[in-house]
Amino acid sequence: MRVTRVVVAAGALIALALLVWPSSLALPPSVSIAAEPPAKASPPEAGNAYVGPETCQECHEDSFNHFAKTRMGRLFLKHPRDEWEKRGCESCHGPGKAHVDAGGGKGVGGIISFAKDSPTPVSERNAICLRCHEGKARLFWEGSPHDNRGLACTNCHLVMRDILGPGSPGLPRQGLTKPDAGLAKPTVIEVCRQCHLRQAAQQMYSSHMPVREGKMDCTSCHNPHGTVTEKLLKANSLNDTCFQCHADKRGPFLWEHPPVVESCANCHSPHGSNHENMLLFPKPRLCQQCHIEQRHPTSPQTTPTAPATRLPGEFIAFRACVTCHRNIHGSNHPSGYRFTR
Amino acid sequence: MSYRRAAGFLLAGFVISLAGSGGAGAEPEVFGLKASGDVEVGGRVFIERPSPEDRAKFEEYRDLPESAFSPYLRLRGDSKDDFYTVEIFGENIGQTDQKFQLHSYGVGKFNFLFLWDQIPHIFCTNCRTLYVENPQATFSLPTPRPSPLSVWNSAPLIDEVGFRTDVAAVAVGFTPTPAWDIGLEGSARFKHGDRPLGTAFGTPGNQGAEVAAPIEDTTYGAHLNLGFAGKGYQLQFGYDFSLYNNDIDALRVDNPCFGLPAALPAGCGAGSGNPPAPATGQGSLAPDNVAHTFTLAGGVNLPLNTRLTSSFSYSLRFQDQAFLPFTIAPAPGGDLAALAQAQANLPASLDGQVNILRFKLTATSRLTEDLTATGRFRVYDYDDNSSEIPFTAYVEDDRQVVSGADLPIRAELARRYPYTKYDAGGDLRYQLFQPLTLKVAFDWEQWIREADQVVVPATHVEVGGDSVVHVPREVFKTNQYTPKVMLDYTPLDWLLFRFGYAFSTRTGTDYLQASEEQLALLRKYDMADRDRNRWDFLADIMAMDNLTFAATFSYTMDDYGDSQFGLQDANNWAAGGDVTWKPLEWLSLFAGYVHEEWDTQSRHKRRSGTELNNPTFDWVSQTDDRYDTVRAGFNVVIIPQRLEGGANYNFSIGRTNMNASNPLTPVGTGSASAVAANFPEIETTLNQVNAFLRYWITKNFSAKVMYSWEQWQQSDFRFDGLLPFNFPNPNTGDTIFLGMDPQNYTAHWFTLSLGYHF
Repeated sequence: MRVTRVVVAAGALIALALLVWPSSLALPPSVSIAAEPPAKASPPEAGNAYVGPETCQECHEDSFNHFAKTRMGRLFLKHPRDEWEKRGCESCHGPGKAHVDAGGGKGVGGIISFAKDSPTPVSERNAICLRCHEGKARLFWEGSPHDNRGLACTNCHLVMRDILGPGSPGLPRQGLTKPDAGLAKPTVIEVCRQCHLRQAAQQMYSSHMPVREGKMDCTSCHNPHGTVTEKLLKANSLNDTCFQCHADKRGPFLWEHPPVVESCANCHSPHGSNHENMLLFPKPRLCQQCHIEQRHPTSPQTTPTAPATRLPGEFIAFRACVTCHRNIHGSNHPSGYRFTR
Repeated sequence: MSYRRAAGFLLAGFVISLAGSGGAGAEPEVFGLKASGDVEVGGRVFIERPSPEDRAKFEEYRDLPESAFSPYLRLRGDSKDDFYTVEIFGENIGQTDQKFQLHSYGVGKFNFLFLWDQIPHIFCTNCRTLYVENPQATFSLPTPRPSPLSVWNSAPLIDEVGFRTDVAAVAVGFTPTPAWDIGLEGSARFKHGDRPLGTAFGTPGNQGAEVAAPIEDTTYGAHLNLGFAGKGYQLQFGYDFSLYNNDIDALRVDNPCFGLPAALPAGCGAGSGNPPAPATGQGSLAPDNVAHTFTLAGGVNLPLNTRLTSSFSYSLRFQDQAFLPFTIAPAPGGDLAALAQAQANLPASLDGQVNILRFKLTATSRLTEDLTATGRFRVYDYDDNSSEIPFTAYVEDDRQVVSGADLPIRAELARRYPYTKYDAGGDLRYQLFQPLTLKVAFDWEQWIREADQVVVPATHVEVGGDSVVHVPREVFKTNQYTPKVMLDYTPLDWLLFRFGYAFSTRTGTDYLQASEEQLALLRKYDMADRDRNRWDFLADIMAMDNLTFAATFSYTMDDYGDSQFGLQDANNWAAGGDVTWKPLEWLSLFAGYVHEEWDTQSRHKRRSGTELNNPTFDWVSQTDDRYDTVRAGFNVVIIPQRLEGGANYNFSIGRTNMNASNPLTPVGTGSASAVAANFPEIETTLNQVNAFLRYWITKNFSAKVMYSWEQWQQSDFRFDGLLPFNFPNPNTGDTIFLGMDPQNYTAHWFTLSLGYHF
């Protein structure tokens, strides 16, 4: 029945389209779609080393037309706010007169390329981007781990075309999309996976956050451009990052659990694990690393009478210790000293 | 589902309006805006799917019904002068996990974003219970209680134990001039549903009951950001507000092993009948709290290619929810007079307040073309100014008043755990010669925790125990020093090898006991002395534009050499590679593999009764995890401009071993409980295959069929065959579980969709 409804709805949509579009039988678009050329920008000053975007367009029409469709391209080519933006292409690639006079070519005439094999040092290429994008999320870029490793902005960002915008080749893929992030790949995790193979793999572990389901991505917790916190976490501390979604653990509580107060990563593996609730190690072993008081916390919990079957005792089965010590992140109950209330 | 029909009509109407807006080949316009976008509608048909009882893991964070839905929607309108843009995104429209975004901006002027996202989280679809929840958060059983306890195993199934988080967010940004930037954000996360939660009734640790506890909470957030960028400097001011509101304060659960006035249910341990076994237990849930954070940050570009950045932030957290009573049991065992006095002395609430100060300063200088230096300093001061409330008694599990000589030292005062953390470091990065760059760095980290010494009354001191304890934490100060070296070798433009090594040593002031109950030789791993060695390797190969390869390796060894008990060794290593190759214009391939291992060794001691320091009661645990993750796939253009396809495969396997052994054969009272042995291996496997074909019917219309196969299998002795009541398992006692037993599943399905692209 449901299949029938789907087929009928699909058929109706096809019929509607064929009815209203006489040209609908034309061939589908090619993979690379040529965009309409934008309106002409103002010519450069006479006697200047800059030649203006019109001149760039003559030789680089395809790139130019794609760039013109991006948000940055529309700003620079159609709605520049200042003299710098009016330079269009040359605001990033540098003055083009020498390049044009020399007949063009990669790197000729001092033109700045942002390709991977560009002779321009990464720090200089990045400085061009930072000229406008040094604030907000990029305030702490200089000296950050990615900067220290010589990462170029263009390793992660694609400036010259919007791979998800109008006229983009191929089709959008499901997953989290970042409007106007100008990413080089369709999703954030594909960008980060270029270097962070282990963390990307951990999203496939049994206990995981909903990253592979498209509900979160790396930038939900991290700011790759540099932050005040270790591991490029967005908030003031690791715990504050977790509290963005798990504010029920923020407290303060009447009875605090000290390792929780100091760091969620004392017990949890944030990228994924084989243990429930993304714990670093299975219970009760995780808890037993710090609890050797008396009675049941100190026992190995193995059954001498049934070693072969290892039936799970209440201290092992399912939620193990936190079956009883359920307010393990802290308790606000007067009788919550042992986190059972 | 009327809203699905409405969405369908809206989409159809949009298509019709596009049709009427122009003739063949004309750029579509809607409401005067240049329109573009992608709309996909379709449905899902299952060949094989998990049963409703077995779908918990299959739909853990997603919704996969066999019905019509819209996988993807993107509609965009641009003003004719390309200044304004409005975009609507949608995913999984019509499903529980649907998501929408509305994005509008004027280039260089303003930005507006609205988000609505529904995130399901299913725990269990084969749980059972005899509890009746009425009213909310009160779980009742009849009196006398169901007997025998085995009747719980045929209790009614709970359709689904899980919750959904609905996120609504709005963000507005203005750039009145290129120098100024103003941002406002507001958000709300609504969480509703339930989750497994236990309540203890036995003392100590021999009886409990699990319920599907309700969740009804909301986290509200707001953010204000003001930024100014001058010539060579930037200033930012930010304010963050977060309010957590929980509609449910307490959870009440009837005790399945309450005997009065009838006999204890059959199956309840004799200890559960020790009067006064509580009829009902009440525990607290997360209290409401609020946080405010003020941030001032800035950066300035100085001469000699130097940049200085700094950030100062001050946070306040408050929590002042009224306390629940010590117990709801009318007559718990023990000193009721002491309980009454404690109740009378108890303030109404915690008056919780935490003040956090965070400061960071970073300086980076590109001294020469080949030499870069960076220095940084950071301090994080967590100051908990909440009331430290004294206690003379409390009630354990609504059963027994604990007071007087039985009251542990740490239970006499609800202490706070303030700390201050300092970080400082610097690094030099120098290009030795063209292909070789050397980086040397040094980091220092210091933790300072509050330290008060408390004399333990003689009546509390155990045999061999300390008469003085150190509260609230065992180590007052730790210092960690980490020298590092890294080499980058780029023999060719497209080839990068990176080697890194770091050695870290952490030492602290004297490790003192924080509890008279604790084994004196235990060293808790977050404060214990530790040496760490870490190696990293990365190879990045981009031989051609159409071929990239990356390989990584990392190995971390943690040695807690001074820890006679507790965590002693922890090792982690991972290795993997990933390749993307486009050998032909119409064919692209990708593949990747990662292997990861975790190993730990800890030493413990079984302690109970008169056997508190029996050397034969030591046992050693060795826990290891091993993971393998594989991915592979391709995309191909079969007929140019007409037919394309692709497939991908994902595989992940995780294995865990919980091994334990005794260095000496346990001898003494209760030695049977000190015997350590290995548990069965835990293994979890996930296989996923997706393959699709897309056929372009016309320039604008396409049809897509996707086949998906997924298989998940788990062998976990902790869950396999778990029932609500597991007698005659001698270990489980009379604890009643929900019986969550995630089931293996295999699923095949087709997703058929039609797309309209313009």
